[in-house]
Order: sequence, then C-alpha cells, then structure tokens
Amino acid sequence: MSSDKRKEFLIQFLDKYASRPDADYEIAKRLFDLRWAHEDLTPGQLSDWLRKIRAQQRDDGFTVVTPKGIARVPREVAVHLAEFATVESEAVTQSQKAPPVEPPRLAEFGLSLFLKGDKADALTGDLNERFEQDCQRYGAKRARRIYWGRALRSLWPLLRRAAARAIKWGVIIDNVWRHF
Amino acid sequence: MELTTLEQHAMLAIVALHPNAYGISIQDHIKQKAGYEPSVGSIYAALDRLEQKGFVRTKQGEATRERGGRRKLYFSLTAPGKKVLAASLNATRSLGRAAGWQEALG
Repeated sequence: MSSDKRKEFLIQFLDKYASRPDADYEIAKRLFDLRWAHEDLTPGQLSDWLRKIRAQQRDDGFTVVTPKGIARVPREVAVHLAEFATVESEAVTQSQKAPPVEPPRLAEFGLSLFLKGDKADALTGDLNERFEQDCQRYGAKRARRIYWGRALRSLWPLLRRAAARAIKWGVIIDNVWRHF
Repeated sequence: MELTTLEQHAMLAIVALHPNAYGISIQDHIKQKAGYEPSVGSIYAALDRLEQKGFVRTKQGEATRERGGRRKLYFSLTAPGKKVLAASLNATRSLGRAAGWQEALG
C-alpha cells in the first residue's frame, strides 16, 4: 500500500466509523476531530497505526494510543475505535495479500481508439483511478461493472467527436480535390 | 464565439480548480456544483474541442500506480479562453436579466 493510499485509508476509516449507525453524534464529532488532527502524520507513522491502535483504561479515564501520543477520549470512543481498528486492519491485511485487480482491458482499448496520444492516456488513467476507488468501496466484481458502465457512457461523445473531425477533414480534402 | 453548456461548465471548473484541473477533478467539481455528472468521455470531447479552438492548453502531470502508470493531463485556460468564457457568462447573465427569470420562474 502506497503512502498516499495509507493516508486515504485512514481518512476513509475514520469517516466510515463516524457514519456507523451505532456511532452517536458526540462520538462521530470526536472522531472527525481525530481525523483532522492526524492528517499531517508522516506515512511512516501512519503505516503501523491501525495495528497499534488500542484503548486503555487508566485511573484518570480512557485513552487511545496513536502515533502522535495518547489522546484522551470518552470511554465509548476508545472502545469502539479499538474494536473497529482490529476489524479494519484485518481487512487491510487481507487486501494486501490479494493480487492487484486489473480494470477491463477491452473497455480501455475501445476508449483509446477515439482520442489521440496523451488525451487517450489521460482518459484511461482517469478511469483507472476511479476503478481503484471503486474496488476499495465495492469490491473488484462490482468495480468492473461500473468501469464498463463508465466506458460505455464515455464512448458516445468520443465517437461523435471523432466523426466530427473525420467529416471536417473529409470536407477539406474534398474541396482540395475539386481544385486540382 | 458560442460555448455549449458543458464547455462553459468545464471552463469554470478549470478556473476554480487551477492548477489541479484534470479529468476526474473537473467531473467531481461539476457534479458537486452543478448537480449532474457528465461522463469523462464527454468532458474530454469538450476539452478537445476547446483546445482545438485555442481556449485551453494542456500540461502533462504525474503518472501513479492507481492510474495504471498513465499520466494526468492538467488543463488551464488561455487568454482567448478567459475572454470567451467571460463573454459567454455575460451573455447568459444579460439574457437572464432581460427575461426576468427570477420573477417568471419563481
């Protein structure tokens, strides 16, 4: 997992937790505060955080151990966060073991036919970026279906653009032909 | 010089996102601000037209693993592009004023 990915994952993780139906408003609010407090962490600090996160009860209240130090939070936040971190970090380990998922190459190829050079590259790159996000959100199978949907939606405007170019050049060539 | 609605929206997104305007960020911006989601293909087709007319210019960006090693293409407006966008927005505004759309549509 790249450093950007780790950072993105941390943010998604805290957002996901905060939007749980059983996470009440106060807990959600504190988690959002934690999220922003951890945005400037270095990738190295982030890499082990999910595995190390734990809640401890001390004499003076509950604490959550983070790479930035110990954050004092209400008991509910500490316990929920630690439980959730365990489940999520297992999911991350599993996804790291899995082979990388490739977007549908045929759809990619189809799109690249209608644009030239760097634009074709950028368009398929954009769709791949979406595909990565969808894989994490919905899983590989659904992400592939979404990719095909996006590719097909993109095909018609590109086809029209290519046809307009061809017609324009056809008219120019026709005019030149008539003069010679 | 006429601009289509999507061309106008894409150009406004480029101005708002400068210097980070590329396919996905433009699509997200339009979705967020205008409430509809154009396909990436239609955005590139519109930007291709605008580039051909000399209203936008492109600059290659970084390639990342998430993008399958493909480079981003950043868009920015040229001076004629800014001028044509301003003219188009002014035309829309004065047409709206002339029609008294706020009173007519409630």
